[in-house]
Amino acid sequence: MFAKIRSVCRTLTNRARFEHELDDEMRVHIEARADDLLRSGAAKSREEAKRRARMEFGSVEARQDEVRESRGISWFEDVGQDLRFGARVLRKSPGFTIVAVLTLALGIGANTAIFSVVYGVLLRPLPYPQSGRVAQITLSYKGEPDYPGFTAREFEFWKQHDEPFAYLAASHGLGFNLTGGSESLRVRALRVSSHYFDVLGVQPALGRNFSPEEDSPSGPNVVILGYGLWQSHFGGESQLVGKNISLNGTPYTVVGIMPKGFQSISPADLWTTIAQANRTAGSGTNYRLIGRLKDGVTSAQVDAYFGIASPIFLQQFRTNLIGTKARPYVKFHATTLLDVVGHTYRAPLLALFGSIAFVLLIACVNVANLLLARSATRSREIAVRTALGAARARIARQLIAESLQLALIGGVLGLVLARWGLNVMLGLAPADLPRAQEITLDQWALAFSVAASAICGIVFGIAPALRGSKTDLNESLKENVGRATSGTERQRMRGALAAAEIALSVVLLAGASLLIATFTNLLRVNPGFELQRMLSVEIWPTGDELPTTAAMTNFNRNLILRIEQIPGVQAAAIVVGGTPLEQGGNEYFTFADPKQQGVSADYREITPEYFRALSVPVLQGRPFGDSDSANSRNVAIVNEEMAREYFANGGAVGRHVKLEGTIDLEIVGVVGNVRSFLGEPAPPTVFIPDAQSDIGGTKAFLAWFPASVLVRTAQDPLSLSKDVENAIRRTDSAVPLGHIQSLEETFSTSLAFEKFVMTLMSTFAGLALVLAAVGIYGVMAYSVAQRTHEIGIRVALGAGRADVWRMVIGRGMMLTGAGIAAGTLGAWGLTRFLAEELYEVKPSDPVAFAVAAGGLGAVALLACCVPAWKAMRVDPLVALRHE
Amino acid sequence: MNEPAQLLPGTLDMLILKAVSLGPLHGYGVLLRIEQITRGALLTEQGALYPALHRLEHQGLLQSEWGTSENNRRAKFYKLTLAGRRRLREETESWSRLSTAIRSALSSKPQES
Repeated sequence: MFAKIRSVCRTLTNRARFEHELDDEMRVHIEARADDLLRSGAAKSREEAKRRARMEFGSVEARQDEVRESRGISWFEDVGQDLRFGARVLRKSPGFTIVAVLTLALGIGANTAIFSVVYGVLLRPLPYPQSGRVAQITLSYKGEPDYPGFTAREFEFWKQHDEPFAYLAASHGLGFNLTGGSESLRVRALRVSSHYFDVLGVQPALGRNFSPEEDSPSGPNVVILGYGLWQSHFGGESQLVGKNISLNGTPYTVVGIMPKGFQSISPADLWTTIAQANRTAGSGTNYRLIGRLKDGVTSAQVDAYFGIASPIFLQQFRTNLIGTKARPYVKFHATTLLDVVGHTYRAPLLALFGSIAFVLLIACVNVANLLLARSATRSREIAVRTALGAARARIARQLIAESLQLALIGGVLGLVLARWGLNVMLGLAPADLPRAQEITLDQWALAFSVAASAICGIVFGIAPALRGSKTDLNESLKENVGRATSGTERQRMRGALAAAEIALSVVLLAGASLLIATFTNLLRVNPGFELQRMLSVEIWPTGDELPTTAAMTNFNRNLILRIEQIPGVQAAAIVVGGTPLEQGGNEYFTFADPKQQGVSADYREITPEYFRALSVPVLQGRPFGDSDSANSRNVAIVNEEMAREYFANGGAVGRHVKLEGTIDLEIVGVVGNVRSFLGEPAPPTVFIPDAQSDIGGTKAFLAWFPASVLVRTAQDPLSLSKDVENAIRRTDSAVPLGHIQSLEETFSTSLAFEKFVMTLMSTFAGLALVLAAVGIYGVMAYSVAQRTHEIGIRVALGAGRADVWRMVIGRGMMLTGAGIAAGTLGAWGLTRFLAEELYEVKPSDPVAFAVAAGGLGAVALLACCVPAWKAMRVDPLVALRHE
Repeated sequence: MNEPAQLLPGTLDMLILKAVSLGPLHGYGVLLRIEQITRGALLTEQGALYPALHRLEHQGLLQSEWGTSENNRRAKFYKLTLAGRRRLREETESWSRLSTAIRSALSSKPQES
C-alpha cells in the first residue's frame, strides 16, 4: 500500500519526466530489437529491421496508456479533466454560478462563524497541560440538581479521600481592595489551597507556589500575583517577590508571580491561601473542588470510588449546613473543566448551531434545485455523451466534480463572510461569554468550513448526479427542451426539494418566534421598582478605615447627605449584598416556631431611604427610619414573597425571624418583590437597616458583592455620574469605585444573552425565509417556463386567465402547504430543545407556530405570484409559435 | 516444426520476476531472458511486457534505475526488491504444487473397482 502511494506520488510530481522516460524505454526496446534482427540476418536492411521490430512491439500508444493505468495515474487525470470541464461549464453560465456560490457562501460562512463560537466556548481545551485530566467535583442530593459547592469541613473530608487524584484543591472567589498607593484598587482574588496550581499543572514564573504550611489556619498572609496585575500595577518589578503588598489594609507577602497568559478557572488578579478563609468570610458552601486524575485512572474508576466515598461522607455530614435538613442521599460527580466553564451556554449555543445547520441545508437544497433545473437543459448534452460511450459512473462523477467546485468556491467566499460575521456576532455577544476574547477563525474553523463545503458539494450534487446519469437516451435526444412533455419526474423531485426547504424554514421561524416571544415577555416583566432615571455606582468600602458598624453607618450617612445636595438628585440610598437585577448574597433564617423549616433567603443591608429611592412600594408596616439604630430593637423588613410563603395566616408585621439561628429580628414592614433575575420570580428576601448590621457579616458580603449607591435623578442619570463620583471621593478618597451605570443599562445587560440568542436566531430564520422564497420561486418560474406551450394550448382552448392563475398558484400552494405541514411537525419535535431558553411561552406555543406557518405561507404566496402573473400573460399565439 | 507455445495467462508477471531474479535487466533483456528460460515461448506483442513491468514496479516488487546497456544505449534496468523475491518464492511454490497436482491428475489411470 505504502509503496503504491509513494509510486503514484513520485509519478505525479514529475509527470513530464515520467512520460519522457516511458518514451525512451520503449524506443530503446525497438532499436535493440532492430539491431538483433539485422545481426541475425532476419532482416535485410536497417529499414526493414526497424519496421519489423515496431510490428513485433505492437501499439506504443496503447501500451503507454496501459502503463499509465497500471501506475494509478489515470484516475487522477480523469479527475483533473472533470474539474477542468466543470470549471468551463460554470464559467459558461455565470448567472447560475453566482447565485449558487453566494447561497453557499452565506450558508457556509454563517456556519463557520457559529462553529468558531461553539468551538471557542464549549470545545477548545483549556490552556492547562492535559486539561482533560482535571475535573471539578460536584454533588447532588436526592432530587436536587448538581451543585458544585462544599464547605471547608467537607474539603477536609475530601483531603482524606483523594485516592483517584494526583492532586486535589479547593478555591473560592472574593475581592480585595489593593491599598497602599494614592488610590486603592479593587482586585479579583481567589483563595486557593496549596495544590491548586499543581492541579492546573502551571507553576509560578517567578518565586514559588504556596507551601502546605502557609495554607494552614495560622499561616502567614501570602499572595501570588497574576502577570497582568504585576505588569499594570507594579510595573513588572522583578524584586517584588518577597516584598509586602497591602490588601484591605493588611500586609501580604508576595511569594510568586504567575506566567503571562495564565488564568485560573474563575478569573482572578491574584491568589491567596484558603485555610485562613474563615477569618474573613462565612463558612458557607463556597468551596469549589478540582482534582487532577492520577495517570491511568479512568472516569469509571472515579465513579466507583465516589460510590464508596459517598456513604462515608453522609455519615460525617448527616445534615445540611445549618443542621436542619437531613441528607438521605448524596451522589458525587466528576465534571470536566470544559463542562464547568461552558455549562450555561451549552444548550443555547448548540441550539444556534443546529439552527444554522438548517440554514446550510436549505442553501444546499436551493443549489440542488438550481442544478436540477440546469440538468434539465443539459440532459441533451449528457445524452450525447452517453451515446458516445461515456459510462454512467463517469458522468455522475463529472456532475459531482462540478458541484464540489461550486461548494469549494462557496466555502472560500464563506470564510470571508465568516470573518465578518464572527466580528458582528462577537460584537453582539454578552460580556460574560466565557473565553470570548480568544475566539478566532483558527485552523479548526478552516477545517470545519472545508469539511462543510465538501459535504455540501456531495449533498446537493447527489440528486442532480443521480438524475443526470440516469438520463434516458431515447427520451432526451427526442425531447425538445421547452416542449409540452417535460421530465415529470424531475419536476416532482424539484417540488419535493422546495417543500423540504419550506419545512426547514418553518422550524427555524417557529424557533425564532418563540425566542422573540420570550424576549418581549422579559421586556414586559415588572422588575418591582422604577427603572428610569436611576444611577447605580458600585463602591467597595472594605478598608481599614471602616472597622465598625458605626463607622460604616457614618460613612453611609455622610455620603447620602453629600449626594442629596447635588442638583437634580431626588433620593439616594446604599445597599450591601446586591443591586436589583443582579445576583446577591443570602443568609439562613429560622422562625419563632422551632419546628418550622428554616429558609435560605436573600439578604440586604440598606440605608433607610432605599425603598423610597427605588420606588418599591411598602405594602404593610413601615420602612426603616433613623430611629432604627444600633441601640434600638433589631428590626427587619421582608418582601411580599417571604411574607406570603412563611407568614400566610395573618400579616408578617410583628412576627419574628432569627438570623443565622441566633439574632432575633422583629418584622416591621412588608415591601413589594424586586427581581434578581428578570426571568425568575423574586426570591424570599430579608432587609435589615445598615445601622444594625454586624460589621463582620458586612465585610464578608463586601468580599463578594459591592455596596451600591443608588441615586434617583430628575434627568438623565448618567449626566450626574461625575458629581456622584466626586461626592464619594470627598467622603472617602480611598474607596475604590466599580461600575457606574444606569439601572436601565443593568436591565439590558441582564438580558444580553437572551438578546444575543434571539437576534441570531431571528437572523437565521430570516435567511431561511429568503432562501426558501427563492427556492419556491425558482421551482414555479421554471415550471411555468417549461409549460409555456401547454398553457398556450389551454388558453387557446378557452381557459381563462383566472384558471391559469389558479393552476400556478394552486401548485405552488400545494408544495407550500406540504412543506408547512411537515415543518410544523418537525418544529413540534425540535423546539423542545429551546425549552430552557424560553420564558412564559411553551415550546409548542400555537401562536408562535401559527406565526411561522402564516409568515412562510405569505412569503411563498408572494414568491408564486410572479410566475403566476407571467403564466397569465402567456399569449397563445406566441406560445404555439414557440415550436 | 513446433508452433511456439503461447504464454499461459497470468504467468507473465511470474516469468518477469524469475527473469529479473537472475540479474538486473532492461525491458528488451527481460524479453530475451524469458524466451531463453521458456525455450521460445512467445509474447504475442512485445509491448505487453511494459504494462507488466510498470505494474510490478508500482506494486513494489521491482525497482528500476537508468544505466547503460551492452551496446551503449541508455536503458532502464529492473531488479528484484526483497518483496519481489518473496513473491517469486511464493509463486514458484504454488506453481509447483499446482503442476504436480495437474500432472498426477493427467497421469492417473482408471481404476477397477
